[in-house]
Amino acid sequence: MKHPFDDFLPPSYHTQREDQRVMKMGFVLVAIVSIATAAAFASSLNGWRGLLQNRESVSTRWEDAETRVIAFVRAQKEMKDSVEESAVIEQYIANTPRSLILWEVTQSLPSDSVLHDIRLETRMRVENEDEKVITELLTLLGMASSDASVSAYIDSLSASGRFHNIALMYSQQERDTSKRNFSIQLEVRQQITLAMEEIH
Amino acid sequence: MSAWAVAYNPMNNAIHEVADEIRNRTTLLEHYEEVNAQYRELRALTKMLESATAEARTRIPSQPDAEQWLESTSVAARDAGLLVRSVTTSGQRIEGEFGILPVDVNVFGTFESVYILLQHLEKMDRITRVDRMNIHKVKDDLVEARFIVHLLFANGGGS
Repeated sequence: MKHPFDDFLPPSYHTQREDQRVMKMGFVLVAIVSIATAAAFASSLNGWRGLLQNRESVSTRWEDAETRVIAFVRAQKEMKDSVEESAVIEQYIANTPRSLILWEVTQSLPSDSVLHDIRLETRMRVENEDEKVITELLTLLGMASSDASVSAYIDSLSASGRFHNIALMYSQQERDTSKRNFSIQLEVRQQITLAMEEIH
Repeated sequence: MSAWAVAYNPMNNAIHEVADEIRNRTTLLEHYEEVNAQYRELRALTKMLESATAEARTRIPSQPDAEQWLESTSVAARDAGLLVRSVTTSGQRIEGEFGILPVDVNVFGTFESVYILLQHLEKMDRITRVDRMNIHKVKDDLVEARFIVHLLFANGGGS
């Protein structure tokens, strides 16, 4: 006799239920995979659309930049030509007005000193690749009460910023007096310089 | 698996390639704004330089025109109280696009007068260069001054 808790269902029923469970799980699994794949595609497509828009925008800017680069190179060439043209004219113009040189030279002179000679000479030499280098050499001859005055004069000329390479040529006693004859040589600083980087 | 292999993977690779391209180009375009600003600055500078050069060219006569310059200088020297001892022109020389006519001016007077003459020469409406200058004190405030002035002119009637 069968116990009341014993399975009263036939084994075929159990087999059928098992098959149904397996099928349901299979369907669910396939559905999950399909949904995940579709979601991945949808997400990728969304990203793809965004990327395409970005690419279009970058391409437009890229093309614009290419045009600009050509224009930039052309402008650089024009600038180089202009600089070369003005550099040719520049070599015929005095970089420092002579009146300004005279002003500096006389205003820097100590009150107990006098100048006897002011000589300005322009020297031009050609350096590598036909580059003309202009040097303006100034020679001052005068008389001061002492070497200290000569030294103060040189300091004052240096401080003006308009001259460089200032050299005392000599300072010697004037006959039987306590005065000193002096000679100073200096170069006028070239204030206008035109420089241009090479275009590679 | 087949969907991944056939469609998703190639598409994903394509997306990565495009993303890399965008990244590279964006990096290269990083200084685009700066280059644009520099370009505008360069154009402005070139324009300014060209205008200055054109202005300078208007101050270079097509002929030496020494007579006009001499007249103006003599009048200015006389007005400043200077005695013009001599004015001598030496042979003009051609240097490419331009020519130079050296003029030797000898004057006598006070230092202030020489200074005024020098200022007049610098203010004249043509490009000149005082190439050499020698100011020698004679007595008290009187000086002898000698200038060698280079008068610039266009070779071949440029302006």
